[in-house]
Amino acid sequence: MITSNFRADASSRYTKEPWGCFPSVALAWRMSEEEWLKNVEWIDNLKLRLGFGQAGNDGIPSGSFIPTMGSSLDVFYGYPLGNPQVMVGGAAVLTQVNTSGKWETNEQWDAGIDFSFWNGKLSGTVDYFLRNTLDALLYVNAPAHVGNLYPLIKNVGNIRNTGVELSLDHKHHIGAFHYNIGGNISFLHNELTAVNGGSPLWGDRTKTDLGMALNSFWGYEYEGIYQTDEEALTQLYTYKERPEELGVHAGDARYKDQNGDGILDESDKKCIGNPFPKLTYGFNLGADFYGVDIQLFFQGVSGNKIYNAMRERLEGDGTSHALATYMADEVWVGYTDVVRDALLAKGVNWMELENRNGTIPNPLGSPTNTENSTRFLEDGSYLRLKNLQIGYTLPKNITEKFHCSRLRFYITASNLFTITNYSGYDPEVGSGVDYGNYPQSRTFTFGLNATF
Amino acid sequence: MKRNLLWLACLVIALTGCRDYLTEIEPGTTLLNDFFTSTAAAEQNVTGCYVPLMWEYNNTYLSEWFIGDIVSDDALKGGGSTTDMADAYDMENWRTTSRNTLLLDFYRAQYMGIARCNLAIKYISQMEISTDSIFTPTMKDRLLGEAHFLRAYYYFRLVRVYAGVPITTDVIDDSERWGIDRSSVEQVYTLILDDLTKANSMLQLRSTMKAEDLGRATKGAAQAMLLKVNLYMASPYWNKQLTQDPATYYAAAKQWGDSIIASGEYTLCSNYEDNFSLAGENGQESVFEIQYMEVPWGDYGEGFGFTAGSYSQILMRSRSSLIGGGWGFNHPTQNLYDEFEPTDIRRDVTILNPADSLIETPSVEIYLGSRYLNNKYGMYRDPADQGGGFGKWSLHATRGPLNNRQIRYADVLLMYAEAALGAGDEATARSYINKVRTRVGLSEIALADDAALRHERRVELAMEGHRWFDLVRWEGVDGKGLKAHMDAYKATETPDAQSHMQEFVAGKHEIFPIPQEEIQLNPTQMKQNNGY
Repeated sequence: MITSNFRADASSRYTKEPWGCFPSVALAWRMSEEEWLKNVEWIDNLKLRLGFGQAGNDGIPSGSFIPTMGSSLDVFYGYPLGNPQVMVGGAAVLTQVNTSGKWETNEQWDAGIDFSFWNGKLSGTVDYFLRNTLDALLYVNAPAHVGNLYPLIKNVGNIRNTGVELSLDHKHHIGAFHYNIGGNISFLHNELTAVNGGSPLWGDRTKTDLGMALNSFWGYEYEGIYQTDEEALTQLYTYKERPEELGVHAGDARYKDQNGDGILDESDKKCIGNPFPKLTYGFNLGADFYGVDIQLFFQGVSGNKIYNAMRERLEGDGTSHALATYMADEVWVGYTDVVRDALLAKGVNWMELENRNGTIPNPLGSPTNTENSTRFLEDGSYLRLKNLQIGYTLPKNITEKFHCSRLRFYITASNLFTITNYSGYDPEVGSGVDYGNYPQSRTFTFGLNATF
Repeated sequence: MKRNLLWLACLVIALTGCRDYLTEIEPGTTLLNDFFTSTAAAEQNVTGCYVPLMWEYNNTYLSEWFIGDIVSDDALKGGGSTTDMADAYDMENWRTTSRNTLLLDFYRAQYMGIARCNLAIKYISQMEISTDSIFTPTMKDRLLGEAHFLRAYYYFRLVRVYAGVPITTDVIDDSERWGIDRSSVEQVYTLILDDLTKANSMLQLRSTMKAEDLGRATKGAAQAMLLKVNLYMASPYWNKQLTQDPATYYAAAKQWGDSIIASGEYTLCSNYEDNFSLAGENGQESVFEIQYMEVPWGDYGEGFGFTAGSYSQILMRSRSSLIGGGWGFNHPTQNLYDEFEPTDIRRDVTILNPADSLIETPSVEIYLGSRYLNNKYGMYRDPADQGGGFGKWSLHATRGPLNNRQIRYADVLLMYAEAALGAGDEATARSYINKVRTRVGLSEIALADDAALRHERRVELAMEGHRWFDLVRWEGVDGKGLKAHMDAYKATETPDAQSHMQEFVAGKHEIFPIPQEEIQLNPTQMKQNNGY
């Protein structure tokens, strides 16, 4: 079987090059229909698939690439003038759009096998895919000198997603005990393969550059807390002659000096992980036996990172956010000899106040303490029982007395438990940065199904 | 054949037709190419060029006085605690990093102004005279002159904070042209001078402007800026980065001072205090002001722009509900208080020293030892409005109506005196310093020198956002360098205030870092300033 398709689309959104051409072709071979496999009894179905396709994306706001002038009396435009002052209407281009924007093309290569064996006892699919997003359109900030108030849409480069998806189902029964097991698992790799204009994309805590996953976390490698000023000076040795310029002290965060040059700067930051799971999986188990049925659905991810920005706030200075209760025990506190003496002179026992085993750097210390680093980066892997349902259907001979053909009681629980090392509320964080999203609720439902 | 032609016709219609038909733009906007068709449109566009000047809030507060006053020896940060406005705390205490949000927002605001000016200059200069009946050569010149003046103003605000910055004088509507490297300090100053020279020849005298245009840039404002920028270029700190020697710039500065003085457009207010009242806005001494007014609408919203009022009043008013109930930033220092001669009436106009009975929570209202408040911008002196002698505006609690006095004629006279002194004309310098002194009833000085001039400039313009930039360009006040000056100031502070200050590093802290985020966004990967 061969299917092929060719389309040429024009979109008014792309003013410079409105036209885009998008071919696609798909090949399928049902091997189980071939003479040499037809007689193999245990094979119900075996199908090979190959596909290639391109599609254009113009799902962007109209006018994304057309310069427009806004005008009004008030916000962003107007200015008070005259005597007496009155608001005078003004006009301005708030965002200099990128007039050379062009189509984003999604290209997909796909190879797969569908199979079913032993009368459906085992069935599944295996797919390998490669998706290229060419000239991907993303919202980005322009450099300040462009003069934009808002981010704009730009063809940033090419993004490649490669992966393997595997799903398997097994259904069988042992006497009256019927069961099914199914699962799917996918491996995904995401990478930027070309950057238009050569400059990487930066987010608040992320960087996307050639060869890196989209929105990779970018920052320092956290090494703990400086126990003494001398320790800081030893690590950042270029300040030896001018220690007064060293901005960090005992109690501040220590980051790895990656290039060993004795200065901590942008060149010591690196990719410290990305928010994409290496592995995403789900599986369900179901069984029924003499009217009792049970279904479980698990899902999980593995190998992704979460930036716990919530913790960054909870371990802050307390001016704009509440502090975590554990702060009291875990903030590093240490005094210099001068301060110790001063405290003693006031009759304060400094030894009771010190906490040199504290794991949280001084929230009032160097502003670098909250720089992007592995300090707030956590493993986002989890396994969660998404859904559990247990039901019981009363035997027919009983229910028919009530003119009821079927009566089933059940109880459903969702998000019953989660196995994770993530310290935030909920490891299911959309963007990879956790600003303290409201966690998903655990729900219990009791129910009754009746058919008359 | 006929059929093919029909298909072709459809295709042609599809190709040509849909482009206009499907183009929808947001309500309230006009296609850029359709906009510049009347004087009114051009004037609106130029009005829009002023707006970024008034922006004081985006992700954080970014008023220029956070740099001009607080970083200097004139003021301490203040606020609710040392950690309130951490960005300003870091800047005041030599802890600034390239991640400073105030510096990022300030940087972006200036460039939004520059981009607006670039657009206005590009399109208005293409407009034909007589586009409509009022689009005369004079009108076209005035509009272009305003845009050139403002572009110079924004670049000046950038160069004295970040040194050489990327220069663009064109509209950047294509991402291929995003990469622009930092220009040298000299290139930025050259552009500023060029724009101001154009503005001077295109703009009109204040006296010939209509009342409804009060607040727009004038020929006098352009000349005052030419005087100011030439003084900066003559000064020790900036001149080192330029090719011509100070004498050239002092001579130019003096010449521009001559022009503005000879124009007779401005006079000193007899009452110094009128410069800081609501009633005194755009008065006889005013050369250029950022205009603010009260409007009932407006909110923080998406940052920048959402207000016609100023945050400066609420930011600087005392935290005590008895005298304003503000947020208590920008406390004048004892060091500044002591700089005033005992009989100088300007001290109490500048500094409000609240009686103990007016302080509610000493631990907060007295910031690191300073109980003083900025009396110039707290609007304590307009009792007509309301609030028992500590005037208060009424329409919007946080957005004050007081204009920001950017250039006063007294400033011009002192700059002129400085230019004269630099050119070796002590007698002229002395006479102009004395004009400023006699206005406030002080005795005349017998000899004008750097010390006398710098003292006078400090007390006359205190808490108006000038001090830090003066200290930098002079490299301190006594020839011993800015570090020696700031160290000496530090020694006059309370031990509490001193404990927050890190060491001033010469060769680093005179300017601030280019925001890291902007280094990253620029495809050329701009170089960072020394030490950051």
